[in-house]
Amino acid sequence: MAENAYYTLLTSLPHIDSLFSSKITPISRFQLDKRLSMLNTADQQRLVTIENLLHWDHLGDDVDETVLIRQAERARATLGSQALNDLIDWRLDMRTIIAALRRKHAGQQAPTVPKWSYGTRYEYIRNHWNSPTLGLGSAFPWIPKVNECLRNGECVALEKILLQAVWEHLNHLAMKHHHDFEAVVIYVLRWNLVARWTAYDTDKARVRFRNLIENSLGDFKDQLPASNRT
Amino acid sequence: MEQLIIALGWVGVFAPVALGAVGSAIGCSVAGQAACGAMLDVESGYGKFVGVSAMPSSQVIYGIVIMFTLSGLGVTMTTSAGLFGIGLLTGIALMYSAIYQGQAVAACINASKNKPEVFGLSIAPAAIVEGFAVFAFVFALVLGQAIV
Repeated sequence: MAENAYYTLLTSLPHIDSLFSSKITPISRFQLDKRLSMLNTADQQRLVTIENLLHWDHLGDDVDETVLIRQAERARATLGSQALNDLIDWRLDMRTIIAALRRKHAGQQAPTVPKWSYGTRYEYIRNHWNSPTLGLGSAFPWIPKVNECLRNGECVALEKILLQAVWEHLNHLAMKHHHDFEAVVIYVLRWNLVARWTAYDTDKARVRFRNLIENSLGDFKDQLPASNRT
Repeated sequence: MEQLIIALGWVGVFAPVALGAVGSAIGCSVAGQAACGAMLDVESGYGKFVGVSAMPSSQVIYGIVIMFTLSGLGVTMTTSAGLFGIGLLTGIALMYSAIYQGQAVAACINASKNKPEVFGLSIAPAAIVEGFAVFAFVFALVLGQAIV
């Protein structure tokens, strides 16, 4: 596909207005995939690589972190775009920060393994483990809010802060990219955020939570009092 | 040497058409692709998208007019340098204005697809770019008369 053919694809995609006020995605995933088939094979593969790197839905529960980190580094090296690499790094850094804050909140010490996570700041975070903001308060201004939510156990507020941070970062990048592959990636990532937010369902979450508890308990489930089984 | 100067004169005569055609082709292609994309997303108003996507074609028309005017002056040893300078620079101006007008039109299509009421306003940047192409066109004709 010629470089200028991104114009066709991007103008064929409906505008995504906002994140939290969306009730449904502006286009179904089926239709989105049909439109994305306008991309050439190399771009489609790059997009799949990025989505696999940033979304963990396809991963099982027993993931080897070391293998995952190595795979992420290998995938990142194949993208061939500085803007995309920066975007991936930012998202993976965000994941690393959240993981570090959760570990700290659980009372854990700094990781002993040098390469303990993704992104570009894992070593810096390990060295600044004792700082409440991991020494990254200016680069990631939402860290104090995340700390507060973790302290108070406000899961929904925490999720909203993180989604908002990603949304704003993608909006900022979207202003620099209008009709190129980066713009397509930004659109798909924004679509994914809206899809994720609009898919949140209390009842489904309750069932999923119950299943996870049952799987974790295994045979011990039968030893629970009858009132706790439902 | 004389042949080279005459050749440069002919380059100057044909440059507005050639470069204008390159620019218009790219500009119309970009705008046309945006129009095609927009038609996948809307249920009506296709005609205005296709119509506006033809805007960058005017540059090649300006180029044709300049070519006939400059060639009418005659390509000789005395006129070749002037023809080369005016023709080549006008061609470059027409080419770039067509390319960037195409991008402005694509942005207009994208904006008015999501918000049809801004169609008139969103076409203004493309119209301003057209104005710059007209400047190059008019002053090439005016200055061309001073060559002989």
